Amino acid sequence: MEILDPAVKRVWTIKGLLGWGAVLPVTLTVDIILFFSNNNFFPPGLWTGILLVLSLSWILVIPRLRYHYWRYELRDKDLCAIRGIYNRVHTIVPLRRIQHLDVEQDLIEENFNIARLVVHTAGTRSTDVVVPGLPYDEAVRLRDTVREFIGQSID
Amino acid sequence: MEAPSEQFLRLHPLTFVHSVFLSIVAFAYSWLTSLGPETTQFSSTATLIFAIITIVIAGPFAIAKFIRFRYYATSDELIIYYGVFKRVRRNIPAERIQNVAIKRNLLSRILGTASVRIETAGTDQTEGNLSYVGAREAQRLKDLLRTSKNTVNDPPPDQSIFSMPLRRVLVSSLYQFSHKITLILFTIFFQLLSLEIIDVRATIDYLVERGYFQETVSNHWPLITSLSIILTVMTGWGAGFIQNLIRFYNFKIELTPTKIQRRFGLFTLQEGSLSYKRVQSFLIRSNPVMRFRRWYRLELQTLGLQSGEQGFQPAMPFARWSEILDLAPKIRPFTLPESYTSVSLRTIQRYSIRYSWVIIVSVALFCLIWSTNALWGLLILPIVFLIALLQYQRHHWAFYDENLFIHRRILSQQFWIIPVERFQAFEITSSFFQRRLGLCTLIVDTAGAGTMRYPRIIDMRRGDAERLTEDLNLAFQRLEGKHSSSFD
Repeated sequence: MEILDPAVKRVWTIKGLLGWGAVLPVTLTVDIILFFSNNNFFPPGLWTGILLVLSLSWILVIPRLRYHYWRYELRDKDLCAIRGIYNRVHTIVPLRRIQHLDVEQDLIEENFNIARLVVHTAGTRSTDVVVPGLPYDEAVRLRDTVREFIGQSID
Repeated sequence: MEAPSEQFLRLHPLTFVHSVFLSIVAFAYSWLTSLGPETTQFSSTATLIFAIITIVIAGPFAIAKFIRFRYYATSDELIIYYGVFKRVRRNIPAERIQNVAIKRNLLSRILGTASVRIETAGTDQTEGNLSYVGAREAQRLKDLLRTSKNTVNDPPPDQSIFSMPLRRVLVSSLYQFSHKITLILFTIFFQLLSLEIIDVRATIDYLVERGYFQETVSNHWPLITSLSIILTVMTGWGAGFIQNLIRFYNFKIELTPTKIQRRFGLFTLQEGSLSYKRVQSFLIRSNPVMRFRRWYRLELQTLGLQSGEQGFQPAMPFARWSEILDLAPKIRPFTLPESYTSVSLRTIQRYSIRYSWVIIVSVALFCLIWSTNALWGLLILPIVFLIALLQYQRHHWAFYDENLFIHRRILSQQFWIIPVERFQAFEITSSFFQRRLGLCTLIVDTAGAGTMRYPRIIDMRRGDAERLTEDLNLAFQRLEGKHSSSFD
């Protein structure tokens, strides 16, 4: 089975930083309010401290583990993806069931020249199977291969 | 965008009455819930301002929506113009129309209107919704779009395949319990309590004064608690009875060569047809009381607009097992397997640990915040093992005759039948604890499955799950290779 592009670890780390960073103003505001409200129960800076510890642990550990467990393979008649740290998920999508395909890339991913292959099915749970961290050319190649298969199976 | 020509029709003018009625209900609800003993001048004013803004914005918006909405139907296509801010012209070719459903609620029946919903093959969303047109116009549209040259016209069914006479509807209503309506009634009750319209203490005192209770009894909290529980159960049962009676009154289901036609309802009359192609799986359910009297309920997991109840349609709300086995295979043939495979015995261990853990943590918390009497809660620990054992016994599966069969759950039992050609994807998931025990869960994804209710086999042995997934995938590929109809 194939592994993802190692650059995806950095992409996830940056996204993690941005995500946790968005919560920072909230915890800072709470801590400032508590500091000026004669509060004796919570030590100053508690919530921001907790956020920093949690976010640092997340950023240092989660992207590496996610990368470690991600595997994918485009086989003759199906696409197979294995991922998950606590809950390990092994998905098999028959290519005949694919409704349409997208190659997606945001600004951060573009900077690292990686992309996501999004596979849409009519199913409810596996409606969108997203294979992240693919080198852009590889994502396009996968998309074209699957598209060709779908085209042949319709003809 | 070109403007609609003179041929285009508007919705029924009484559509406004529906909008006004809904607005009144919404306003009354928000006003009632905003009231309370702590109601301030500010909150009353805020509610009033909110209501005025709603009327000022929603009123003209409803008028604009009505003016913009036009439709034109021929036997070839249905064209709809709609949208206030974003104008849309939608052409629905008749050959794509799978179903034209007419729905008439109580208000519609009084006003002589109906809502018409158009279901197509290419999407799981409602493609067109004409709410509301005249009742005759609804029937005309249905007949017109049905007579399309491209639509397969089935001969009308000779007889009702399954129907529920009033006696059976009444019997089935006896088995129903409505949690939702009970919750709504209790919300209203507590709202009236907070408004001091109802005073429980004064009512009890009054009953004691009238000699219905003795003074000592009125102070006896277990009695009051027991009465409250009985009242709750009775309310839920009564509400379930009425709800079921109203919903399934005069239930009829008929089968044509390609479609299932249904008609039911007391106040809201629902009639429509459902293509066999849209049926994704069968689900046979029963609760312990129903099972005791050998009654079952057949539901169809469907793809399309009539996907009420988390994507499930009642096909036989109350039927005997033999009646279900007579009708369901006509929709999609299947034969019940003679034997089933159990999930792993280790599921008992996993469930026992999981439930015990929940109980121990709850008891510890109650000990901390209430009293050490909570330790008595540990007495229910042996029951945990019993529940886990029953779960193991009730959970088994079989892959037979190109269908996957899954039995699940103890009380509200589920029996799934999933045809192989309906598979969309396969998923094997394993949590941290499942991996330690060599277990996993196999989920078979189908189109239109509910987010809460979907077919899965929990705690299979890893090897079994992988073998079954391979078998299912191979069977699917073989069948799809034969028919090449996966893009229907």
